[in-house]
Amino acid sequence: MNPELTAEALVRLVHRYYPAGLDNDDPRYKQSEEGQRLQALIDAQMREAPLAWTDFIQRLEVEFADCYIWDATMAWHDPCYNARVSNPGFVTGDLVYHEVVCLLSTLAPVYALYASHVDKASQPKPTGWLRFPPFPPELQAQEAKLAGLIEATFGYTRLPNDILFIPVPDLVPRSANYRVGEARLIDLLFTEHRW
Amino acid sequence: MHIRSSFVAREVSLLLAVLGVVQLACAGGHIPPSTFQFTPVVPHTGTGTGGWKVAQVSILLGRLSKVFPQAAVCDIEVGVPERNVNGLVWDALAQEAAARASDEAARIVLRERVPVALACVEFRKHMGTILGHPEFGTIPGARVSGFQRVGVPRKTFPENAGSPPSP
Repeated sequence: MNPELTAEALVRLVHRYYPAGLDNDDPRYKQSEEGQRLQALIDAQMREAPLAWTDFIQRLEVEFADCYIWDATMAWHDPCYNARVSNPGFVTGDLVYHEVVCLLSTLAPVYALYASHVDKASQPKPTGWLRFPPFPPELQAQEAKLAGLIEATFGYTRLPNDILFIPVPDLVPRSANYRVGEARLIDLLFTEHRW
Repeated sequence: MHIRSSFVAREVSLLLAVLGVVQLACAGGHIPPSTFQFTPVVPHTGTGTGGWKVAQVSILLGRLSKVFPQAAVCDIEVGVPERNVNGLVWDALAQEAAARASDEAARIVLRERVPVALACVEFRKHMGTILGHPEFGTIPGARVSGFQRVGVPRKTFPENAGSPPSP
């Protein structure tokens, strides 16, 4: 792996964007040097999505023509771009569906994929799950295709689970309902809002 | 006789109404849907999913229950997509769902006797789960946080509790 993308390097990196030991509702959080650095990044992201990302969404719509594509990027909340690709043949309002979700960090050239499954028709109550690799066999072709497109387009490196879920207990994501001690690397590089 | 039974029925209804209010107040209060006034912040273009609108509310926890100090305030920003996998997210739907989620979140926080210092985080966490959870959430993609956006009109619950600080 690129030496700048090891677990240690990424943990060091997120410490440049989040103040250590402060909850995100502490006024010092946003005033801190780290908080200001993250705010500047988010302000830039808010002004305009980079052409590469909007082009990528259009490409997904072509490559996954029978799927539903959702650009779920929340620049104001998270330092990442986020797209959701539904199962083929999805129709708005379907009760049972899955989505393969990609997260591309704006802090480092890294990405993550996870799968989200919803079954609102399940009895006696709706069910659902989120899954990180390995994906169920029926989702692996979609996963591989999406990963290939991200790597070919952006040259980003996919992070494995053992790096994504490293605890970073002294930091708190910007808009998460977390206290000090709860965060993991995935929450800070991308988002804690996974659904 | 007819007059007497209708009087009794009215008294019983009144008693039930009072009991209902007391029970709701004890359980965390009832936050009306109109408390959540959604303002578009990311326009929805095309026919696919996307767009974003938010409602900001300062909830005075001390007015929900005496468990909390009078001054305890919880800032809530509810964000929902303009259109998600279920179709258009109408304001009325989002308001109803947000009100139900906030009521339930308040009940949980009160029931669990969460310390004041953690109350807002736990309130938002429960509300976000109830609203946007993939299994049972009513609005896929919904998100609950502290105030993030500036320039969005802010409401206070209860409404007569005074104006929140200007954005």
